[in-house]
Amino acid sequence: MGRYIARRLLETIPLLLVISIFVFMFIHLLPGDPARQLAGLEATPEQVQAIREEFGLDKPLLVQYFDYMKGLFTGNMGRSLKSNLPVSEMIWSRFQFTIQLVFAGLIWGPVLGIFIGVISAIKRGTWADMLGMFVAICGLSAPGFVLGLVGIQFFAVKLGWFPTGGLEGIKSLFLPSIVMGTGIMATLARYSRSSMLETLREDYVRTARAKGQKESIVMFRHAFKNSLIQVVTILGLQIGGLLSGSVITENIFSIPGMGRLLTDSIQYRDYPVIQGLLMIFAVQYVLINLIVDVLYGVINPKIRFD
Amino acid sequence: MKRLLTLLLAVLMTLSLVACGGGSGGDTGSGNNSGTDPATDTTTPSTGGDTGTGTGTDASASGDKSPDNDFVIAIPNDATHLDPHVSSNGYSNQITNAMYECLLAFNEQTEVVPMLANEWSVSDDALVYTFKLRDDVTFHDGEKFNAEAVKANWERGITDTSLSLNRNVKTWTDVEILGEYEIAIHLESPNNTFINKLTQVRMVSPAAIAMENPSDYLAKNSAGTGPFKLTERVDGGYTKMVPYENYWREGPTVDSLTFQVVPEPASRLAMLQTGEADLIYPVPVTDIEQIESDPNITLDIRDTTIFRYVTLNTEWALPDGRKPFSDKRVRQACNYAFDSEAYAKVVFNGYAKEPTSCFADTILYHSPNTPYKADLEKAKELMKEAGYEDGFDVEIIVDNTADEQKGATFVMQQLSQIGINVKLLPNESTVNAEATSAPLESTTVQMWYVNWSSGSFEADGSMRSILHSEKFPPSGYNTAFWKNEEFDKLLDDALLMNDTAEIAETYAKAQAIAWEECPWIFLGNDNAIVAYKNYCTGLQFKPGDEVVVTTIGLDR
Amino acid sequence: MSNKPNEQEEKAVSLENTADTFEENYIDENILADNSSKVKEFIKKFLKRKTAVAAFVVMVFLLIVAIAGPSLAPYDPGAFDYDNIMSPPSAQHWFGTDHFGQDIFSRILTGAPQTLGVALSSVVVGAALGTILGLLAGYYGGWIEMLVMRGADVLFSFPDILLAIAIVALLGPGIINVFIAVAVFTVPSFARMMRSATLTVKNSLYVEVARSLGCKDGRILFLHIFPGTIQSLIVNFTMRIGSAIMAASSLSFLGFGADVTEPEWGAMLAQSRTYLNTAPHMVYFPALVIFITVLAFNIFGDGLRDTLDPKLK
Repeated sequence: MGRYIARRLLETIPLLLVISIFVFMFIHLLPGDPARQLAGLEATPEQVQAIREEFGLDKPLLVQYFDYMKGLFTGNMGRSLKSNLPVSEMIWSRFQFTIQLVFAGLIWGPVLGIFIGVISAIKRGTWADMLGMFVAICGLSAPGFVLGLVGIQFFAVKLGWFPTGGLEGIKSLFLPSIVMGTGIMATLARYSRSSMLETLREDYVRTARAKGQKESIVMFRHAFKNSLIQVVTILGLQIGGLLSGSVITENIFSIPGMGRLLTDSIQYRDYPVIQGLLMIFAVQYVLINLIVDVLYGVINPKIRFD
Repeated sequence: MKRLLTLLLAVLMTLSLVACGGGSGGDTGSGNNSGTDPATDTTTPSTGGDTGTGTGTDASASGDKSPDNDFVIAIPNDATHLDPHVSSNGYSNQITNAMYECLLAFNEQTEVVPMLANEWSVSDDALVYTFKLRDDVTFHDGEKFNAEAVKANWERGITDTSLSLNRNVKTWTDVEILGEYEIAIHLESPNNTFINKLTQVRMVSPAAIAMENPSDYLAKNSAGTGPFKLTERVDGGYTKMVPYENYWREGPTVDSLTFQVVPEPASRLAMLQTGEADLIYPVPVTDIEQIESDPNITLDIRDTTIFRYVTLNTEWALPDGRKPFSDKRVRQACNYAFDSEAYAKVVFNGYAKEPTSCFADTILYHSPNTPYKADLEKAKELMKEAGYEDGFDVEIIVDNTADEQKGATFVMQQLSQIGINVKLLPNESTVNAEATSAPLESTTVQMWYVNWSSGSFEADGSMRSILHSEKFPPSGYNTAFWKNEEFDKLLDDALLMNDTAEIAETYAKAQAIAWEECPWIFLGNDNAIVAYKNYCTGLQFKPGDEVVVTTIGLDR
Repeated sequence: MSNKPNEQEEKAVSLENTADTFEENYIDENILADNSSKVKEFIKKFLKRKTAVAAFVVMVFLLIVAIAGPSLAPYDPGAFDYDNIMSPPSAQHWFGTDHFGQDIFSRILTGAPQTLGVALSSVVVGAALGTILGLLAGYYGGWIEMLVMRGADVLFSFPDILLAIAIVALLGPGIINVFIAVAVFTVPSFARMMRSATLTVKNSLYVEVARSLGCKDGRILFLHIFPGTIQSLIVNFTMRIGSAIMAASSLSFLGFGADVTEPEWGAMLAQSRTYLNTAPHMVYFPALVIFITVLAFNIFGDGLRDTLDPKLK
C-alpha cells in the first residue's frame, strides 16, 4: 500500500510536467493580448508595447516557459500581470473561500444523496423510490443559477432569513450550500441507487442472504459497502470539480473563489495566474483520484494494487 | 403514476408561488436586516452636519435608519489595480478616487473646479500653466503634499511609459517648482485637453514613488490624499477603507467604506433590498419599476458619457468585390432603418437617450444635429439607389456579455428590415480588442457593436481615437476606416485653440460632418442608474457615472 | 449459453448453483437482442413499468416536436414586436413573449431540434469514446490504463470554460462549441465510470469462466464485460443528457454558448435570468421544458435499466 501510494505520487511528477507544457502552450496560443487588455482602449500602441516588454511577453515562448518553470522550481509562481500580487498569495486567498463553499455542499449533499439512493434501491418500485428519484432528478434539472436566484429572492429578500451571499459567518453559507449540495445530492442519489441495485444481485449478497443472515446486515455489510465503490468514484470526481471552483455559484453569491479568479484571469489573459490555477487544479485532481483509488482497495480487497 | 403527477404539480405550484412572489415586488416588509454585521463599533459620533452637499437624499421621508455605520457599495467589477497610475478603467477609478485626488476635479455640471490646487492661470501662448497648491494637505503615509510631490508624480509618468499616467502627462515638457506650494507646468504645444486630463492625474506620495517597486506597495497600501485609506482587500472580492484622520477638508462620517464586487445584477439588487449593500451601481434596468415601488430606496438616474455605436467598415468588400459601406447612402440607410427610440425602450427599458451627435451630450462642446428618425421607406429607397435593394450578408463582432449581445441582436433585427442579414459574432472583449487592432490589410472586422466614453470628458478624446484617419488600427480604433480630411483638420486645429467659442464652433463643424457622413450607426447614450438606501447622506456624483464618496454618511 | 431466463426458476435458485445460473442467465439476458422472442419478452417487461412507459411517451413526443416543431410554431420565432415585449402568457402567446416581443412558445418549438440534437449527439459521441477507453483501461490495466486514466485526469483538471474559450477561438462562436465542449467532457467521466465498472465485473465469476473457456479478449470485452456494465452506462447516459442541456445553459451564462439569436433552450434560460423578477414566465417556461425533458430521459433510463436487470421483476 505504502509503496503503491509512493509510486502513484512519483507518477504525478511527469504528469504535472506534461500539464505545465500543455497549459502553457495552450493559453499562450489563445487569441487575446494581456498587454492590450491591461492598457485599456485609450492606450497607444507604444504603451501596449511597453507593457509587453515589462512583463517579458515579447520574449520567445520557449524562453518564457523556462523562465516560468525556473520560478516554479524555486517555489515562485510569479506575479499576476493584472494586480501585481504574487500568484500563490492570490490563489491561497481564493482557495479559502472555495474550500468553505465545498464544505458547505459536502456537509449534506453526499449524505442525503447516498441515503436517498440506498433507500430507493432497497424499496425499489415503491412510492419512496419514486419520491427519491423525483427529488434527485429535480436536483439534476435545476440549473444552479436559477436555483440560486430563486433562493436569494425567497430566503434573503422575501423572508430575510439569510444573507444573499458573501462569506461572513455560517448564516451566509446557507444559500450557497443549497446550490452546491443539490447537485451532489442528486448525482449521488442516482448513482448510489443504481450501484446498490447492481450489488444487490451479486452472488455474494445472494450467498449471504441464502446463509440466513439478517436482512439489515446483508444490506449494509455486503450490498451497501460494495456499492460504495462507484459512489466513491463519482464523489471524487464531484469534489475535484468543486475544488476548481464553480464560477456560477460564486457569481450569484458574490464569493471571490477560485472559479471567479479563473474566469477573471482568462478575461485578462493573466497568464501566470491561469497557469498557477491549472497546476493547482491538476494537483488537486491527482490527490483526489489517488485517495479514491486507495479507497477502492479498502472497500473491496479483491482489487489489487499493482 | 398518480402520485408522481401530484408531486409534479406540487413542485410546479411551489415554483409558481415563488415566481409570483418575486413578481409582485415592493413588499414593505423587506427591510429585514439579516444580522451579518456583528455590530463592531457603536461609539463613533455622527456629525451629520453636511446636508449642504447632498443631492436630494431625503432620509426624513421614510423613517428608516441605517443599522450600522459601514457604507457598502456593490459594483460588478473590481479595480484592475489599486495603483492609480496603472489602472484607468471605470471601476478602478471609482475605487481609487476614494483614496487619491488630483490638482483639479470636475463638479456635477462638468465644470473644472479646484481640488489640491487652489487656483491656476495660463500664459498667453497657452504653453505655461501656473498652479497654487493647498498647503494643508498630507498623504496617508504622512508625507507632505507640495510642489516636489507634483513633480515626482510627473517624473514617474514620463519615465515609465507602461503606466496609464503616461498618456496624461506625456505632453508636459517640464514641471517647474516656483515655491513650496507653487508650480508651473510647461507644454510642448497648446492643448485644449490639458486641463481636462489634469483631472485624471492622481497624486501619489513621493515616498511611495521613490520605492523600488511602487506598484507592489500601492497594491496593498494607499498613499494618496483622499478621504479614505485602504485597510483590507481581497482581490476580486472587496476593498475596505476607513476615513483618513488628517483629511484636509470635511470628510465622510462613516466608520468604513467597502466596495464589494457583486457580478450578478440580480444579486446586487437583492443586497440593496436586504440592506447588505447601501448603494448599488449599476442598477439592472429591468428591475427599475420594482425598485421604484420600494419606499426605502432612492434611485438616481443621470446621463452618462457612454456613447454606443456600430462601426461600419467602409473598406470591407463583399465576395463580389463591392464595398457596401463605402457608399454613404448605405450607411445612412442603416441609420434610418435603426429605430433609436425602440432601442432605448427594448434594450435599456427606456433609460437611454437618442443620439444627436457622435458623442454624448454630457461632454463639453457637444453640438446637436438633426436626428436620424426611423424611416424604413427612406432607408429602403437609399438602399435601392445605392444598388443594394437585395441587401447583403454581414458579420458584427460584439462582446459576449448578456447586455452587449442583447443590443447587437437588436441591431440585427433592425437591419433585417432592409435586407441586411447580420450575423452575430460574440467574443471575449480581449479577443475583440485584438481583432479590432488589426490594420486595414488584415482586418476581419465588418461591423463592431461597441461604446466609447472619454474619461476626461473632452471632445477631442471622444472623437480622435475612433474617427480620425490617423487612428486607423493599430494606432487607434477607427475601425470604420473612415477618412475625411476636412474632419481631421478641424480636430487638429481645435486642439491648438485657446478661445472657447472658437473651439466650440470648430468641434460643431466636425460633428456635423461625422453625423452626415455617418461611418457608424449611432445607437444611443445610456443612463447611469444608481440606487441607494434613503439613509445614505452626502452623496455626490460626477457627470459621468461615478459616485463621489468624499462626504458620505449614514443616517442612524 | 442459450438457456432461457426463467423467473420462476430464478426465485428457486439454491446456494449450490447460484453462480452458474447467475452467470448463464446474465450473459443470456444481454445478448437477448439476437432473439426475437426475447425482444417481445423485454417489451412485455418494459410495458409493466408504467412511469417508464409514460417517460417513453414523453420522449417520443419530444422527438416528434423536434422534427415537426418548426412547422408547428404559430409565429416566426425571430419575429420581433417591440410594442408587445415581455407580455405574460395569453391566448395569443401561450407562453408569453420575451424581451424582444418574440413568441416564447414558438421559440421553444423551433429550438427543440437544436437543443435535443446537440445534447444527444454530444453525449453519444462522448459516451462512445469514453466507454471504449474505460473498457480497455479496466480490462487490460497496465500502461493502457495509466494512459487513459492520466489522460482523463488532465482533461478533468482542465476547466471546461477554458476549453470552451479555446474552441470559440478556433472555430468561432456558436452551438458547435457546446457540442464539442460537452462531448469532450463526457469522455473522461465515462472512461472513469466504465473503468471502475469493468474492474468490478472483471473479477466476476462469469468472466473468469469465459476466459478459462478460451474466449478472445475482444469477445470477452464486448460480449461479457460490456453487457455487465450496461446498467451503469444507461444511468450515466440518461443523466448526461440532462447535464448536457444544463451545460449548454451554463456556457450561455458565461457567454460561450449557442448563438443568442437562436432559440436554443439553455441560451433562452440563461438570457432570461435577469427578468426573473419582472417577467418570470421568461424563465419558467424554458426551465419547465428542460425539466420535463431531463425528467423523461432519466425515468426512461431507470425503467430500461430495471427491465434489463434479470433479478427484478
